[in-house]
Amino acid sequence: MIEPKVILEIFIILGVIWTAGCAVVVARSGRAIPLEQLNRAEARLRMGLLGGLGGGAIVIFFLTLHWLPYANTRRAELGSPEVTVGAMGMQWTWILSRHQVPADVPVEFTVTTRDVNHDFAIYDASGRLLTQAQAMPGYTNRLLYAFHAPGTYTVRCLEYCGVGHHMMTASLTVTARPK
Amino acid sequence: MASTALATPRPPETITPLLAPDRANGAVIRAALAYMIVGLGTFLLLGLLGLLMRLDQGGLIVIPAAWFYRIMTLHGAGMVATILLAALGGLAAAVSATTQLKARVLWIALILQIIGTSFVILTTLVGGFGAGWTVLYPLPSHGDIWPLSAAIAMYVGYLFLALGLLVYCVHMLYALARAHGGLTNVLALRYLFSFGRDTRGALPRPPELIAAVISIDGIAAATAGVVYLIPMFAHAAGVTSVNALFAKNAVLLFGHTMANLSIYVTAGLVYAALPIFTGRPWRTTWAVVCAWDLIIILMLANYSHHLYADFAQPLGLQLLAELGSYAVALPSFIVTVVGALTQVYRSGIRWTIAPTLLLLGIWGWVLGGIGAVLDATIPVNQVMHNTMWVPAHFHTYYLLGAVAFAWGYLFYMVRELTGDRDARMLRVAAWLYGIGGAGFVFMLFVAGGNSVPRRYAVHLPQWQVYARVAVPFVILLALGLAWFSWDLGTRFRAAWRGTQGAASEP
Amino acid sequence: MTVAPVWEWEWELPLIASLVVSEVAYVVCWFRGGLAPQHAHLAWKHLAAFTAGLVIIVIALASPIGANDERLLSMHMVAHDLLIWVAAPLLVVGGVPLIGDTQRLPRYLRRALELLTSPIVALLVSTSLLWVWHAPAAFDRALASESVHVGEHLCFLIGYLLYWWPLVVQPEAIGRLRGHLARAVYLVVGMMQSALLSALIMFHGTVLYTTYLHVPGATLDSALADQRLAGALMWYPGAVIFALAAALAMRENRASPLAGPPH
Repeated sequence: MIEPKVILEIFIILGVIWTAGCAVVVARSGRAIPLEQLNRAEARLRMGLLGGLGGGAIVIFFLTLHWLPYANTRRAELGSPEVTVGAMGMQWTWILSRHQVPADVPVEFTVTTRDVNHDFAIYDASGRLLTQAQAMPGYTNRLLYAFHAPGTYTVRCLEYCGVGHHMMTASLTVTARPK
Repeated sequence: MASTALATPRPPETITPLLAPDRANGAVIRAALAYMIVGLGTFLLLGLLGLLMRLDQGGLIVIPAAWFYRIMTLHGAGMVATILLAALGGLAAAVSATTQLKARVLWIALILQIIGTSFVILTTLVGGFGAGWTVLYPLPSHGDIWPLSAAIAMYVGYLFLALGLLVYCVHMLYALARAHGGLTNVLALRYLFSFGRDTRGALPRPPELIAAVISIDGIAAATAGVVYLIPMFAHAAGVTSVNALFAKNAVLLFGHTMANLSIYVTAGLVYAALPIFTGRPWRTTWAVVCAWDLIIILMLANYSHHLYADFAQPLGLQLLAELGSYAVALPSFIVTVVGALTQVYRSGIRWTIAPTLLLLGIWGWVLGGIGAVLDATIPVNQVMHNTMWVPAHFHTYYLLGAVAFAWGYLFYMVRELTGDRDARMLRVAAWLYGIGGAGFVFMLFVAGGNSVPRRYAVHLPQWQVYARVAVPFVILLALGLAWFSWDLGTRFRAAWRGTQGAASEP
Repeated sequence: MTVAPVWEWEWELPLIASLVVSEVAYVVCWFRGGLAPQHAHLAWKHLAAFTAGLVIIVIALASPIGANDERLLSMHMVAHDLLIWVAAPLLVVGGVPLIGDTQRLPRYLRRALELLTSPIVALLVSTSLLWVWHAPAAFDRALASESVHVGEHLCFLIGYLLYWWPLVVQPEAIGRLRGHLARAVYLVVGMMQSALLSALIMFHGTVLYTTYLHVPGATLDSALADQRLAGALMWYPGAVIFALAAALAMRENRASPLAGPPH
């Protein structure tokens, strides 16, 4: 799965490159030349960007299809779920049908809510967000996930749901599979 | 190969100044100034609320949760409405030299939006409403701490805001169509579909084309708002229950478009003002027409990227949103951003406050876009949805994008109307704004990268550091804004008088 | 709600008499072409507006709306709404042209009128009267005593006759609001103060006007629900009225269309 900190690093790198590009343009904003002299270069840059960014976008789009969080894709990736955990959100607590799941096993969380929208989000012990699915009134969303490291995980609500939103947590323990 | 251009060639390109000859558009410029002052003034006050939120999340002050969420609701709804207001004002000014707008209609739309905003202010501050600006069904009617009547008041406020937006957009489209002989000409559709060969109709200036594009999407947003609000009223009256998925789709189509409108409207301001400073006309090329006509559809197509985590949403809409989110970045970056950089490159521009802020906005817009495109990638969204990454990207779009454009354009307007040179020290204020703003949003990105949830009134001790580091940057930002306000405030009277000529009224 | 409104009309002789006298006086002046015949421009629309204004006062005070004002705060609120937001502007639209050219008024009268209808004074007077009379002590007092109640209604009416005056009259005449900015600010301030008052009433946690608790059949819950409804009835229609006023009062040219052609 994707690491948020890696995304942050990608953002910083791209941001620095972009900032450098802007800085170069600004630094070279003096010593005027007529706009016509730039037209061809600009047109070529645009076509290059269209090809590069457009092509890159299409490639990335197709790659993402392998990592969709939805039940069908996850099932194909992880296998059929062996353990099911019911997760019912309500203002302002989570009611889980079990608080212990085994590691290295596809677990299916059936996420729903009794009242308003909530968001069932699983955090590991270091505070990293691993996966999430919204809890929608009138719907049950199936979130498949396989835990690799035993330990204590925290469930947090990530969809604003009222005055107790920030206190809506639950605990999940992942136990190592007996050999 | 012989050119197949038909009939009348396009008129020579010129750089259009703000004021029409004889100050014929003086009344419209005054209305535009009112929009910008009300918009940016309210922005400052709402920014103070934002500072309170950061102080609370940093553990530096304690705000009771109920109040935090009320402030959060007011800050969110207020900012979306008020920044759009300022943007729309600037756009009216930008097209007014060549398109005849009616000042009276602009004032009516302004008053409708002020009425709407007053509902939002009163229901959050007096009524206790705290369901967030997205008023996501069914939360407004499940408030333990606010009455149903507060939710209804919020809906009524939104109705007035939608009506004000509708009045503005319909009037703008009508005026543009009249000035150019039909909507097809304003959008340069013949020119577009003939790949630049059919140049019969006079092409619109870029700000006029952009005004038409955003008016169409503004009407769509207002309509989506009404489509959302009607069942909400019915539900509040106990008449019916509503499908939660439909409600989320409707409210996000409304809210997403409202928020996006501001950045595209203010991009139009860049097209209008930057040429004045670079001395280079920004022509309506085929690329500009293609990009902006595409944006009409692309702005609406990707709203479902807010629903990636709502697994019940049809997969087709999710994938359309992902592709659409990538696609919409292309015309904006390739045409507008590259165009702006080309305008500036080797132009001999003097970096006074207005072009500085316009370029700051270009820089910030792309930064926000990088953050947005990353989060719009579904597997990434899995681990960043509803973390601080989300407010990070839209605060960047707003603060370092649309708002920077708006302040820059306002400085341009005041300069044109007073004839004064801008104070050189103002550039320092721009740096304060830029560094303060950048540090503030960067800390939001860092928090998002560390999975800190959004919309939490209380942050865990390990999360508080991010907000604490942001606070000094917010102070810098506030200083920059105070400086801007002081400078503009002292010149405002003269600017107002600059719109009045022999023929126009007080 | 456990307090049911009664369907009856309350014809009070002093009220009806004063309304009839006003109408007759107006019609006579109207036929004469105004107080200064050569300088006023009077049309049917002015007669219609003034008469409609008086009819609205009848509806507000004599119809079941008015008859129930001591039983239900919401009804009372509707009556007040009609007075300040419908009757008052109509009366101003119909009555102001009657005065015609203000230069021909006696000097002391003209100076008084100039002062009272200047936008700032009109705004202050109408706002103060509105807020003072909504204070629980004053409101309950008006409910207890008929003469105080008449005083309350007169205050509202006069306050808002003053408020609407600068918007309706021609800018060259006294009490002018020239230009879009001035008119917009005037409308927005007027709107916001009454919206604030409405919200304070609507969201108040306890019953403000205890008279309504003593109405036969009233409970704490019913009185609170009635109060919320009353606040809403002041807030939402008010917003609509001000939006409408904006649409009518923002004109491209100097003269207000309602006051007739410019001098």
